[in-house]
Amino acid sequence: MKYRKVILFGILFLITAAAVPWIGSESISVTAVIRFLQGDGNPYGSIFWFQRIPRVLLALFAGGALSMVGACFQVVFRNPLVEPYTLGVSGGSALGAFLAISIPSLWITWGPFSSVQALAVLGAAASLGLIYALSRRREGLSVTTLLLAGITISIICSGAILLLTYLAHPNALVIFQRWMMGGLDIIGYRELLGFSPLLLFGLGLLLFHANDMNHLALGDEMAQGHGVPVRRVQKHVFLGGGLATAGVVSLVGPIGFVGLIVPHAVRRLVGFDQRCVLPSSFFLGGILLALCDTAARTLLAPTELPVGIITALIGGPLFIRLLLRGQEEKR
Amino acid sequence: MILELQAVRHRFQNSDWELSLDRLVLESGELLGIIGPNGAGKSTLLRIAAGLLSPTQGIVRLEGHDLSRLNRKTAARSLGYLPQDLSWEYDLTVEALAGMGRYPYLNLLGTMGATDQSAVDRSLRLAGMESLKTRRLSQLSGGEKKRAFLASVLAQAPRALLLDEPTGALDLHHQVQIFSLLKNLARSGSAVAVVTHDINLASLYSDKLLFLRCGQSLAWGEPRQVLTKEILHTAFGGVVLMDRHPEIDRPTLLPRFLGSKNE
Repeated sequence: MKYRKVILFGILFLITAAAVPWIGSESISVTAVIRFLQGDGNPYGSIFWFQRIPRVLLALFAGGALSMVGACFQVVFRNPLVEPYTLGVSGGSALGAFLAISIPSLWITWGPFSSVQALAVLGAAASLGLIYALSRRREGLSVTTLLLAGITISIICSGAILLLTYLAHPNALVIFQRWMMGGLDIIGYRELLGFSPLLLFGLGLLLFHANDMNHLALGDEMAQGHGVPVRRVQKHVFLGGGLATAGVVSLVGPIGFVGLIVPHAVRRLVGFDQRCVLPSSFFLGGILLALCDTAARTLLAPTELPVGIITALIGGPLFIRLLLRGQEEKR
Repeated sequence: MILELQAVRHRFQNSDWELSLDRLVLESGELLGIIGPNGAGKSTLLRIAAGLLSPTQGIVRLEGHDLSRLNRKTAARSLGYLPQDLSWEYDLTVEALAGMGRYPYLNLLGTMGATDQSAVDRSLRLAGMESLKTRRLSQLSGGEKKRAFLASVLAQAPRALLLDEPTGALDLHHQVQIFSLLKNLARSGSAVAVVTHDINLASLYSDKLLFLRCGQSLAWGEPRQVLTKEILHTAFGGVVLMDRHPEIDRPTLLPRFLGSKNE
């Protein structure tokens, strides 16, 4: 049964979801949590239900989404080094976020939402649209143009960000730098609900094409010969992956490496069948980010580290190890 | 009449080269060899016939339906295509590869039923890959790889089969094996079109030949009508000689010796 490992990872995902909220700088008792539900309003229960649970959910879903998008992009764009942020999505959303942070008239807040997220999503959508328009061909999407356009747009965005940095007020710089490090704090249920439509639509579109993506490994022409609508698959994966990434990046900022490494590790564990790789990447990516975030919350307690630092510091060496192991196997 | 091309013209962007063919018909039970020098448009023609390339003008009909309006999945149930360059990004077994040919019959998840499994078994048997079905692609020779991919196309149970250079880069033994396999497929009722640069094999095994040159049809018909002295002279100048195959009455070409005979 080839889905056995997927089910196992799903169970681990649920266990992580249930266990991680109990870990943190404040130790919380089960009775406090239950009594809060009965309506006594104790502060520990409130921390558990309104801070830790939404934060862990966000980590699980953001990490899962980034990994699943990475797993799809690496196959469809035929490049093992692609990650969700390669397509310039993070550049566009960083520029959007920085515009909101540095220009006072653009910083508006509505309850838990702020124009930082809205402009980050807009920036991501704009760069996605631009890349899509540039790499569209009669025969489908040009993968090379797609990657080059993504990198170019990232460079243009960082140029614009440098310009804004030069002009901006020092206070804005601190906030922006913090945003760029990626983090999962200041999250409530309403923000979670706000990003779920983008995420559900994007990931659903990717899962819908899981079996189609297997055929792309035989080359576009062979896949088309077998009856796979290759162009449509490319477009949908680009669109679905881009939207899910935009949703994640607008809430948590650029969190590197999760979307690059998890798919590689998953393929070593379950093989190359995307029908297993996609759900497994989602589960393991979610677990990884939730654990990294727990480390970020507790390592320097009561201070918090941005989770992006942890994923980069753990992910970098792991990836180098994967690369070395891969080379040994080729020899 | 399974496949029909009508008044097809194709021009690539920024190029003067044009493919132009008034009519081409592929009947069931027939093996059609498409031959001609490099750059004659053989592969382009085959890709148009397979619906991978939409021609600038003209229409391709698959069993009477306009191919460009057919959904790819529906078309793949009657039309199989084997590209010239085969690649794979992960090491499948032969049987798993053949199973991928069932795509047009499967649901979203791609779960195979009993009919699918028996179609896969049948295609492995036809391609002569039954004994190798548990091998991985990286463990196969060039000829076996071609046949493994051919098995995946046969698993689609297509009525028309289009193959682009199925014998390219193979040794003589495998070349003969693949052509006799295609001949058997045609005998059992399929329509088969093969693009090949090997005129001798095409002449020996095909029922009909299409000789393309510079995007135009130079000749179309039975091998003996197509491979005549005049046509060969037009196509190759004076560098080939024509002979008759010792076993059956089909023309065979030999390269001319242009050096000094005294050496």
